[in-house]
Amino acid sequence: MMESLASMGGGILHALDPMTLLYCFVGVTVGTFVGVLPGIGPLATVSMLLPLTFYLEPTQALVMLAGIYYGSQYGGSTASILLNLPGDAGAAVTCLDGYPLARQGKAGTALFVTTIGSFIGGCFAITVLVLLAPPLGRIAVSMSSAEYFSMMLLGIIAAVTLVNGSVLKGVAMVALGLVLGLMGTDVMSGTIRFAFDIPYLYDGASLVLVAMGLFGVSEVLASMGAADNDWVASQKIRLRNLIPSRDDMNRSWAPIARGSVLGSIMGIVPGAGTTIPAFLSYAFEKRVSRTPERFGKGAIEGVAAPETANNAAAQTAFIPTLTLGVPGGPTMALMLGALMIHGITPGPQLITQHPDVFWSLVGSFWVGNLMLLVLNLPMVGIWVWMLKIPYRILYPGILVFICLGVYSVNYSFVDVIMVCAFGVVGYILMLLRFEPAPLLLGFVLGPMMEENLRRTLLISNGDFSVFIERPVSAGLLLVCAGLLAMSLWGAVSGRRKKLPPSDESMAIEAHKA
Amino acid sequence: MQNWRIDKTDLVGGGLMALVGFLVFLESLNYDMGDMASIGPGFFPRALGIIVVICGLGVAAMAFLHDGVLPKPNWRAVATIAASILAFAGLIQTFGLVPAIFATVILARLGEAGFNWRQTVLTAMGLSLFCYLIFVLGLSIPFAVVRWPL
Repeated sequence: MMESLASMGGGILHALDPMTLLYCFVGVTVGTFVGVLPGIGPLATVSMLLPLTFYLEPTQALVMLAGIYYGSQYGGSTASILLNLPGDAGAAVTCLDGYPLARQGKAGTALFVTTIGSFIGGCFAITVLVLLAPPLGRIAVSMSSAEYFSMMLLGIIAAVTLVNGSVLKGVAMVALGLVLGLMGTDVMSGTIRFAFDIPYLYDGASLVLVAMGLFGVSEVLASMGAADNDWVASQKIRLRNLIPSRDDMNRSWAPIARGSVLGSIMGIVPGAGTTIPAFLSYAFEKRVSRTPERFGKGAIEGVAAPETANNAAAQTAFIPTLTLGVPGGPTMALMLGALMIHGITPGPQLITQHPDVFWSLVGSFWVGNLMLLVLNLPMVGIWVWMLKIPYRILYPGILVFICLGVYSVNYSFVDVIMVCAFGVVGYILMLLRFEPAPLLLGFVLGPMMEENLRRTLLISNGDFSVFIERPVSAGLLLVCAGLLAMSLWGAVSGRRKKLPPSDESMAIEAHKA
Repeated sequence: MQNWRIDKTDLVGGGLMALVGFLVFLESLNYDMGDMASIGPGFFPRALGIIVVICGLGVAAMAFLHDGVLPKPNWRAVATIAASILAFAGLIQTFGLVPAIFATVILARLGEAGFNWRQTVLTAMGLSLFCYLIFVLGLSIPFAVVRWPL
């Protein structure tokens, strides 16, 4: 425990180097900037900004990525409160009371409480991360490929059953993503798969291309022809409007505390993402409140709790990703992919063999979180100004950034063409009401799952029962089966899950309004 | 036929999925299965292909349970955005950053109503400057700003 604290201190110091701080600042600012854009959630934001980090040293790149990640979460909340246009499903809860507050002229209060709550939730979550990660890392070392496979399977099934309405569609998407991930040269046998004799495809599709096309370009396509954002022009948000009344602050502390705990715990669970903690936290607050009828009309608790919960969950989602190497959901899968591109392979070896990297990451979490607080309060005016820019001017810019970002990876114009293709595919999927997010999850996990499957069968000499014989693996598979059964029963008995869909379809729905 | 409830979107979507899954399965037949102890490159793809086909058929089957209309794609958006990105791809290497940005912005802007030359050109100029500052100066990425191949 003491040595953890010492290592963490070292990590924080490392992250406080002036150049690193600068990159963190850039990350948070740019992340918020893009996250504020209507309809663009954390997944799309990180996808689009990923190439910016390629030219930096690993630590600086990671700090910037962490900054982008938080920034995009925060930006999404700003859009929810001011525009009623959530960047992703988790931010949709914030609209429920945030937007009414804004219409009452209390947007500043809502934004302030959001920032404070997010900060506190984040700190709490990082503490949980620091406490849990080292022991988890030690446990993880004793895990074999069978457990890894089962855990990845659980992550996939959980992500698909807990979030989406249609499990069948989600499974299809994940499976296709897995296939896409397998495209290219098979390391074990040397066979080239799904390349159709096109040399360009021999190395498989790159994460940046798939993510940018599937989320960035298709997002732009979906948002075209939609309503504009004229209302914000009438709002005046200045720093002094930010400070909430004493009454509002007093009402917010308890929800923030509850949100922190709830979010931190739920974030660790694979598949929960930030959406479920946010909704659960809102529902909980409403249950616990003495005046539940205020919810939906501008109750500050309805903003404080979900925002805190979703930021806490966003942080603790790193726990399974970093310690076990298994991403809890699509956004974490993207972060995992990003880490790997920078040469860092998350997993149990990370803490034991490269503790300096792990603790630098943790340090960057603290710094990023703090920077979010320090920056966003004064910079609120800028975000509001940004929201006043008509979408007509913004989207060509988004497109240019996507093209430049993709081109800068390999200086290959073929990459840019591929992004276009993926964008159209993503758009078609959205039109047919298939969620693209599980595809990304499958894409990142594909090669890993196959490798673990192979290794398990190699060791067990082709015996599949090893998955059930090993207790941990059996337990994980049982939960998988349970989740599948639950959603099957739900579908059959006609009770459709009213859980929200992911970013993209929310954008389509919101823009239709 | 009139009285049957069909969700056309899901029918098309499910059918398309089943087709894609089938194609995946077909392609993976070319790869070696290996044996149980040492699964070959064909094992996982084949299994996945089958899963996709089953899911696709499932979605298509469930489409008969409720109503739904086909979505209307925004053809103008698809055409202009695709053209915009492809223009970038075509221009960036030969002609450099600024021409590519201009082409992208102009074509993209045609996708939305209310096209205004002045606004568009100003946006393109602003973006070019912005990108130059960030990518070329800030991140030291060697993009040629403008090139005239002779």
